[in-house]
Amino acid sequence: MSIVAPTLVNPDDIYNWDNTLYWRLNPKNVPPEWFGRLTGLPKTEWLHGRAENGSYVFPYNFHYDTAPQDIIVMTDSFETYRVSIVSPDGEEYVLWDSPIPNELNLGKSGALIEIAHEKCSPDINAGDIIFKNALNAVFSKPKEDCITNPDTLKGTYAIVVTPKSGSSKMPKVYILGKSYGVMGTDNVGRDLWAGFLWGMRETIVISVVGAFVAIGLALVFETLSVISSKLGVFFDLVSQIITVIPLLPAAIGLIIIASDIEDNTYAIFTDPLLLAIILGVLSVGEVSRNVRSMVEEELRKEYVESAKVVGGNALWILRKHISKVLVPYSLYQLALAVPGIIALITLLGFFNVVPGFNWGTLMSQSIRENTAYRVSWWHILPVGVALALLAIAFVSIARDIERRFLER
Amino acid sequence: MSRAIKYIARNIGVLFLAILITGIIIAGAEHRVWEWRSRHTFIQTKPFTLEEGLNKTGEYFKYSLSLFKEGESRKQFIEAYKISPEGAVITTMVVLALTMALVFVLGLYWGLKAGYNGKRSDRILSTLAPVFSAIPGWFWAIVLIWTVWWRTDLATIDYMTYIARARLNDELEIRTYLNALLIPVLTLTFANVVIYTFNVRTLVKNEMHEEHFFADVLKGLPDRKIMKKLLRTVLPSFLTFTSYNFLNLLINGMAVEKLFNVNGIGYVFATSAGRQYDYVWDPLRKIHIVDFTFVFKGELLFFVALVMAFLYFVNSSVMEILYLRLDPRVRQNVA
Repeated sequence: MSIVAPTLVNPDDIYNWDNTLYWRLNPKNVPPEWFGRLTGLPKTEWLHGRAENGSYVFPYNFHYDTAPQDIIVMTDSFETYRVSIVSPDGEEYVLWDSPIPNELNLGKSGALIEIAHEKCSPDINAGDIIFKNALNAVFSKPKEDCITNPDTLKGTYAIVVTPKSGSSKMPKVYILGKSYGVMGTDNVGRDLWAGFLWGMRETIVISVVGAFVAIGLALVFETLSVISSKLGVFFDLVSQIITVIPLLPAAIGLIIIASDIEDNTYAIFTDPLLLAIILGVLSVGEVSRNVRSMVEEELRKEYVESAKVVGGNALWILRKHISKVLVPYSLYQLALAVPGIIALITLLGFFNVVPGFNWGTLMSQSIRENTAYRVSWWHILPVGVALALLAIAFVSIARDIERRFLER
Repeated sequence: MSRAIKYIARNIGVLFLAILITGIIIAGAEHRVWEWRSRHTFIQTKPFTLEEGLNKTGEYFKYSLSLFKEGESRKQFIEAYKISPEGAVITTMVVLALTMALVFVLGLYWGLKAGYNGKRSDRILSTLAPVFSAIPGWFWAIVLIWTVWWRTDLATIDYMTYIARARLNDELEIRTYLNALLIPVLTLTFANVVIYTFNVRTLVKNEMHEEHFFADVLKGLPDRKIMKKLLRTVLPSFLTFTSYNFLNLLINGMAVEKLFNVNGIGYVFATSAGRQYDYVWDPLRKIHIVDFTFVFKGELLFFVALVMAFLYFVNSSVMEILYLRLDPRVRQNVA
């Protein structure tokens, strides 16, 4: 899936990830559509219109518990339009009757105050229109608190856009709902599903390559230490130093050294392969020590002593005996190293040092936007669950290898 | 005793080299940031050399020491982080110590029970262990925020604000600090207890194949006594595991400090390097735009690295001394 996933994403979405203008048409910080379907939240969609008696009519099938965030009318020309919404019970609400400068946000229309006064309560003021969902006044039955606690009138509404000139191209009508896409949006309106898919491949590639680097280096260290005791002391010291090096400061330092930083957004661009090597090298300490303890345990066994007595040299013992144990054990360590490196990538995102575009990027902005404190679960839960499932898969593989290894 | 001294001396040597290498890396990163910032100016940047790295490391070290003496750098630190440098270190140590105490108690109890008795306890543990080893610690932090804090309003998720408010109302006492640290400590405990428990369980199961265990069973010793003996036997290996896993715990602890606004070294680290951004109002375009900055404070990064190395040294030395005292085979060899 990680190979195919990025092909499902529009690359412009990722290229413009930090460009707020690009995402302006998306609703901000809304949950996924499937969640919206379960909880009665309107989805985000383009409406399809038809020309009718000099007007353009856009039917809107409304069956939700709350009005959409906004309704945006987009025109190609600067001219006067009359925009009204006809409810299923035949009431017509005129929201606009003036020139439209390219885009019109009906949710901010001043006409909504009068509609709210008539339908709901005369106490409703401009502040309620600006800071609350004023379209609830149009989409609800008459009720005193129709803005904050609407009793919605479900059915097919018609958004009627009538050009005063009588001849112009069909405008577009966009419903800015309260749910969006597969994974919802963040505070800027970014499609989190696009970020999730695009980041998947880079995250997994970096983790797998990094794990191979860690295991490869560990094998080299411990193999050479078997051949020569002086090299063994040296590599033991190297792996101890790497184990003890403060991981996060060193990782951040190395990533910055290996990266380029973009001028305007200060995004950090690192070659994923280089990043994988850095993370792999920093992870080699623990892996090396585990492999070393396995090698030392094997070297203490009687069959190795016997091999030495009959004249076997270090290379022969390594090839004939140690490798049979070392290879499956290394695979086991490899399977454990992958989720460890994935966790490290997301942790780097936590601390706002995110090289490239990966799941760490999504974590970084989630923490930055304080979504943990606002129960915007769709920012964090899908990434967390995906990480957990991926890691569980690798850990299960590791345990299966360990079980087969112990059975032998 | 001489073995302990030899071990500590070796540890110090390894730590010194690790800190030196880290200092050079941080100096290299600072040079890189400076290169990037000078990109569109007429400033000529020279290539980074080892000499520059060593000099910079020396400067970072002097800065770290100056934080513990009265002076400008100490004042700036206290102003920025609302705590003294030693206070930040102690805060982190308290978080880790409380976590390890809980993890030890729960881990040893559950691990011993699961390893010795087996049955449901062991099955639950064996199912949970791969899940918990896979899920990062910050994930548990967010789950706890959403369940414990949102639903029950228990404790706090903003340590600094809670302490500041208590200080203002003159309600600051030990209980206040413990309450403020409740959710961060619970998070770290949750994230780690199953892994430690599983380790104890595996060690106990391995010991149950040894001859001394069968001898105890054949003697008819009560279960409590056998379990106590098993615990005594596995404790040294468990301490070794704890020592190896300490850095993981520390790193998770730093992430938890950032998440819960605990002004320990994790919080200092989070504000020392990386891309920061805020939403600002653009009056021309009448929308909120993202305003980016890039922060890199090499001296603070090195300070955090130094503290991390120091904590690791303290932990591994304490664990090694405990190991030497607890493992009779080692004491016998030494004798």
